Amino acid sequence: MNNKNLQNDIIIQQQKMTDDALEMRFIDNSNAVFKKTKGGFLSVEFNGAYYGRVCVCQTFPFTQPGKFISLRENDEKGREIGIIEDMSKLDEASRALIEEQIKLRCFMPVITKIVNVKDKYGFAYFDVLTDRGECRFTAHIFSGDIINLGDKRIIMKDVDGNRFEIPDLSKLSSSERKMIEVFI
Amino acid sequence: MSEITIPKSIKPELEKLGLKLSEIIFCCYADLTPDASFGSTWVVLTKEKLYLMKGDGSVMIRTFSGYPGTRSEPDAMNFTTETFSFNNLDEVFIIHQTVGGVLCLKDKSGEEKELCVFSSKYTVSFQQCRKICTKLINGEELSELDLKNEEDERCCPKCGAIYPDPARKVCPNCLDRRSVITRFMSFCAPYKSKLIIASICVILSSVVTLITPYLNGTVLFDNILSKSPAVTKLFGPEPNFPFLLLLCTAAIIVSQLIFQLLSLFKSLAVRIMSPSVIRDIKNKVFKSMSKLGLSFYTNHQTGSLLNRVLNDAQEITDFLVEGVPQFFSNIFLIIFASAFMLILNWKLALFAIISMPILIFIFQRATRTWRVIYSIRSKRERKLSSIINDNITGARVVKAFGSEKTETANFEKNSIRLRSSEIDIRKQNAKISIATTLIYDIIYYGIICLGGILILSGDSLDYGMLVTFTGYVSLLNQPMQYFSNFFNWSSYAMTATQRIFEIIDTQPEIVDSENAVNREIKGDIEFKNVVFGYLKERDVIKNVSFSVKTGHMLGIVGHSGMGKSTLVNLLMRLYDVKSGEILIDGVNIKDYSIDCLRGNISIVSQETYIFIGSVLDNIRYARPDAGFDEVIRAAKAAYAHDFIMKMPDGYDTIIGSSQRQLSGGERQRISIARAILANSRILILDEATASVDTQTERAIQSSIDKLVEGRTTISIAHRLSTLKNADDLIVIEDGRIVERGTGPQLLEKKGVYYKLYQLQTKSLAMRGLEE
Repeated sequence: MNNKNLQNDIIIQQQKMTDDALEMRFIDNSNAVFKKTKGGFLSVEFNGAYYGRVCVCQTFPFTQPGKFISLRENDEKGREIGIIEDMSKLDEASRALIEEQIKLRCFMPVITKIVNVKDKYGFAYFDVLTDRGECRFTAHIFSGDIINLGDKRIIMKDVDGNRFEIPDLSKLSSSERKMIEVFI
Repeated sequence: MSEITIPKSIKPELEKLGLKLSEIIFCCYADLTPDASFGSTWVVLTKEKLYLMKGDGSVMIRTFSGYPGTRSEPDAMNFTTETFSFNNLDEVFIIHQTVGGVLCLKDKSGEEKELCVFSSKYTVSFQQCRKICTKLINGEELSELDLKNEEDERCCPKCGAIYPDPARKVCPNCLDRRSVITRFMSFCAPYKSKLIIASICVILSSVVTLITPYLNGTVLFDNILSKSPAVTKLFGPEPNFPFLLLLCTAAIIVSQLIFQLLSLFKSLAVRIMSPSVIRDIKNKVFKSMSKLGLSFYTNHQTGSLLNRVLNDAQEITDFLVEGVPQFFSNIFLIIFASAFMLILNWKLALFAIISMPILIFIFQRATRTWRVIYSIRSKRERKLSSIINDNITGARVVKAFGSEKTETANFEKNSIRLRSSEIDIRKQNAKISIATTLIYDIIYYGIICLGGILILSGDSLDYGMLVTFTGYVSLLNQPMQYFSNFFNWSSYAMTATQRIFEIIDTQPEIVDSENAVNREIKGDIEFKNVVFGYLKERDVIKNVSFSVKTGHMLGIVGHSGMGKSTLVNLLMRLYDVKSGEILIDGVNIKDYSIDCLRGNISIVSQETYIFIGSVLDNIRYARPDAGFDEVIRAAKAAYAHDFIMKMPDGYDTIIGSSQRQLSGGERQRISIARAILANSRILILDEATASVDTQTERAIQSSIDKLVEGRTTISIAHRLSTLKNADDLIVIEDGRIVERGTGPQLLEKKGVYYKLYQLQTKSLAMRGLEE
């Protein structure tokens, strides 16, 4: 009898986990409170539960950067707490908190000027000015590290995975465009 | 203890804190700030404390990994320092982010705090930092390895540039060219005579080309047509001028003929040499590659590696048989043409020689533009062919979702792009050829004009000499083109050579020890405190011990990725253990010769590999000398005989190519037959039935049961039904043995095994209902 119970427990547990993974939970100001902890992390109180250090993930970082923000628990399993459907519908303070997290989470300097690009043996060496200072980085040319989003926007990953963004190609001068033309 | 380098800019601050440099055991740098901009923060560790030093005022260029040039040390001042004592800490951890991460700590009161933010460049050093902190908090001993400053192995230590091929550490910027050239020439040592013939032909033909302008300029115009006194001196007072004219013309034609013959000889020599050299290189590479351990293949993407090796071979050979002889002939041409020009008329010669660099410059510009537009085109070509490829391999999906139209539109869009790129090439080609021709013409007519002025002014210059002169100028055209591209070409060839040598020179990691012996194996297996990791810093197997007696069967259970297959790799000595030992019949496996060890172990794994060839060849793979009756017996034991006989040519049917598709179960049974025929003492079943349906599994299971009889067997499975015959079971989790015992004993324990068992019997029961 005891065995039977244990058996059922395991099955029920399993079932619960599956259901949990399948459910869509939307978070907004009506059911959640966002706060910054003393240590500098984002905490959220949602449906009566408190989560001390929340991980903020963009579901569509390139196509829908401000929508469908997934909040996840901080342990290894990273269970999803819920999804913020639209950041613009949050109040000012919460939005600022989450935006700060996103900005930190996906550190991505914006390239304002291309000083020089050299390519050699399959790698491109960029010397650029960004909104956060001059950067020099190396990108692999043929491995899809230079991502074309639409006709104008470009995101480049360096060999470590650091990212750099060109939000609008047409705003670069023609000589700058010429330098990176080959890679895009 | 290994030395650590402490950045200059934090030394004053360390002094202020009263920290001795010798106390510091580790130091790392974080380049970001919590508000996602660049900053400078150092984390300094001593055995007792963690110092977090935030600096500001750092205006510098941020250089990320792989960018060549001198490393400028991050500079900062006005530090604010926070100190944390390991006694008060509970945990130091890293939150990984899309880019880089955040180093955080948790103190004894449970409060968590953000320390510093770093980009991906520093992830590795912060992981090391976290590891050290964890050990210090737990009071564990630190090893040398923990504190060792890891160099970035992807980059050249000299210049900082990333290696073009991460697996082959060759920096084209820092190559020792001389030694490479010496080894490079060793490739053609066997073909010395042919290379010499080719070079002689090339040089002779340049001599001939040097003669021609002289003949049709100075000799024809100045001596014969203008009936110069030099001719009368040579051929008497009344020479037959029409005859001399014919003679001269004949000489020109003969010299052209000789020129053509020489180039014929040269290309014959090259044609013979080039495939032979390529063959030699390929053979050498394949031979040394097959000697290398498995880790070599897992570190390299094998297919692309082989391809690149073959490309490299082609590149080297082209340079060797075309580039090298041309190099000599072009040098020869430049020297002699310039010398002749100087002798003929130094004023004109100076003008011509000065204009040469302009030509080189133009050609170089042209090559660069070409490279750009051609690489754009090849990129678009690749894109187009990948669409075609997608549509062929994914035809089922495309049709099932009815997206033919979208795919067609997509294809058209990309093919238009390719077209515009082709047009670009044509346009650019036209532009470049006009530009170069124009520049060249300007120089050419400039010389004629200058020559004309010299003639008019009564200088010692004749018409014919001017013709000769312009002839030489046009001769220089080719060497200019050659040298404008030479440096690129040669450096590509050098790098290719270096990469080839990299493979040839790699030493196999696993070799027979000096006193390795062949001996009879009974089949007692024992693992003693085995520790192993594919990467230095991460252990996959952590202190595992178990033993299997001769003829017994051990089942290994565990989730995927927990290190089960690694145990097998270690037993086969595809890798060597980091510490601990593996014994067979009480003897360390390192003391068996590799042939003997692997010859006594056969393996049936989830990935069955069928070689291209007949069924017979495939079954006999491990024992090519096995008799035909034995092959049939093995196939019968593996329940493979019947389906083999249904094939059109029985055991002689060619399989492994696309000619005949085998089902997963059939492939599996052929590989079981292979293992049965091998008849080795130790048998390893690595998820042997994982990829087949329940029905086939039952059939295979019974062939496996036959196979297992009388052998020492290690069976890995996550389907527990496979292990019902096992004498002993061990459960592996995260590289450790968490449970061991017989099946019923483990069920008693109600641990990991029990949980797995319950879940599987439930789902099996469900499947049973459906059937």
